[in-house]
Amino acid sequence: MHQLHVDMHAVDWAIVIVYFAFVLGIGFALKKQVKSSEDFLLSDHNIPTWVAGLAFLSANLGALEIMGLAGEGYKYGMMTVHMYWIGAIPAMVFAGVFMMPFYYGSKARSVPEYLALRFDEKTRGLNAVSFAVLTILMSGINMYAMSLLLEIMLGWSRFFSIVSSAFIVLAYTYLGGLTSSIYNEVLQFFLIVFGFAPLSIMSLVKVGGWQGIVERLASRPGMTHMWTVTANAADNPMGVEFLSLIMGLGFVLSFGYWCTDFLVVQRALASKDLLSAQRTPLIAAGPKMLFPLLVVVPGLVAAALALELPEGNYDQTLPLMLKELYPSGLLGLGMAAMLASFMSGMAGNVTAFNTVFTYDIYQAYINKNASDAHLLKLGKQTTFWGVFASIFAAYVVMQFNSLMDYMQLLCSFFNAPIFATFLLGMFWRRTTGHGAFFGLLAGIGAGVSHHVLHVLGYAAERSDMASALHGAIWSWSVCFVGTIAISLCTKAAPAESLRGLVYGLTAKEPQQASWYARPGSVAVALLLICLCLNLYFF
Amino acid sequence: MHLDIRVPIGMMFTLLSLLLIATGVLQQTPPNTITGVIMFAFGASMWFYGRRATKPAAIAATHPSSKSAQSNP
Repeated sequence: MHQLHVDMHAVDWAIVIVYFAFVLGIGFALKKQVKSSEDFLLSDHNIPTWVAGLAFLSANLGALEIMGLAGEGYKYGMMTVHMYWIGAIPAMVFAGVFMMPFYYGSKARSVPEYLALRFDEKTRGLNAVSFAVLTILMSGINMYAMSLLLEIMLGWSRFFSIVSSAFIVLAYTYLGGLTSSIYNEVLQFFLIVFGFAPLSIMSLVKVGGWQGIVERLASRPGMTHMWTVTANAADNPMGVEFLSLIMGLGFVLSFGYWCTDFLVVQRALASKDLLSAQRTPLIAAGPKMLFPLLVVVPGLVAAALALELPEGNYDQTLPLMLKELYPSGLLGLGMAAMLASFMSGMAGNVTAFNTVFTYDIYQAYINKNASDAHLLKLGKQTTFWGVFASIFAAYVVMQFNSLMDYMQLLCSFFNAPIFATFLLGMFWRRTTGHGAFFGLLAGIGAGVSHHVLHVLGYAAERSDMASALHGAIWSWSVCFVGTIAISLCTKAAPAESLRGLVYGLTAKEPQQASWYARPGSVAVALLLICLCLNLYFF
Repeated sequence: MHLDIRVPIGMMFTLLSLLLIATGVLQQTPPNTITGVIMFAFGASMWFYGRRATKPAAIAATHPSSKSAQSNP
């Protein structure tokens, strides 16, 4: 066991400083344009499609996706790629083609507000509160990861690193609101690509290409295949069989995240029109498929080279690879890319949190007649308190030895059951407000109780990941069945009040784009590419 | 929005690429040089297209005739 320390030279520092200067500069440049709460919290529906698409992806490229999944690559091998392909692409496509028309068409400012329009205020309140808790905890992941990196780079104490990382994100989100966050996410996306692409190429060269990885990991076949090792849970390092993988990750968790999590949906809602909103997740799905090359491959190479992880911590796989392979110069770029990912993930959570708190908690329940100036002021204050609360969440994250396991656990509590609520709400007009509320409550309770049983040793699981996937399936099923049962016992809303909110009661708008540019055609192409990639690495 | 994000992205990547190219040449580290050259091509094109897109908008916003045209419904 040893502690990782990266020696940064003057040029590395110069690169990191230039990056910080531009991030803060964008915040300052946009400060004057923030005149109303809609400007600050919703970007006034004025974001170009390609920017919204890359921000949609980048908001999800936080510590978890970069640091966490590189660690998972070391721990679970090629099975980690499931997080990017089956765990994202079908859900992103579904969000773009089927769910955006309801979100955008209903003119809801947030996901909880859609629930208020479709069901009632209590369902909105439950979703808003659970989402606010989730975003703060997720923001804590990014803050923890960023502090870990600053500790490695500078040798600062964990507390001081956490406070400084919080300050940087607070500065640009406070100044420019959602627009600043989205614009910075695009800049950060390109920095992440340029920062990690050379690492991927250099690591493959070092290990002798894909063949070199397979030969070195020949004694652990579960590390180099995606599906062949999932017939039996005991055959793969993740400890899950294919059915749990498809249902738990491919359906419940990924659809729960990509289709209902306001963090990502908010980027699509910032688009200028419905077609742009539909294209946003589809634009993001393309690069999403290529990200395993940037993140999982270095982790896999680290496993193939049998590198010893500092303090046995999987989350240090990526910094270790940067240190091993990058010369001075690229090292600064790689470190800046890591900082960029943490900042984009954290800022995404903070901007989603302040919107939901301001519109769905404060304006909905505390001060219904608040003026716009008051909401703008509150939105800015909430940004500050959201960052402050994230500091406490960062200390919670430190209790887990893998960021991804922690995140899947949170999603199994909150995102899994809410997807059942949305699925029924959007596609079954008979779903009622009481059914949605109590079904959701029961689903969250089921997820938490499954985890408690696992911790107490009553629900034996092969790994934390297996526990999270099974917990997600359990909480989704309880919510789905509970919502149907209660809805059938309660009075349905009149069809007139559900127009524009439910499939079958919403008029389809004529398609404006050419057939090949329509969301449906792009979706089919993306799914086919995803299928081919899965077959190649079967 | 008045800010075209391609401009700051282009500026930043051009600046970073110059640092990498200089480091690569001085320290004889080919990975720095290669990455720097690719980044320079990317940064310069983003900057160019961003500037080209914002120029007409800026001219329209400051030109007296366009102002009077905007004020008349």
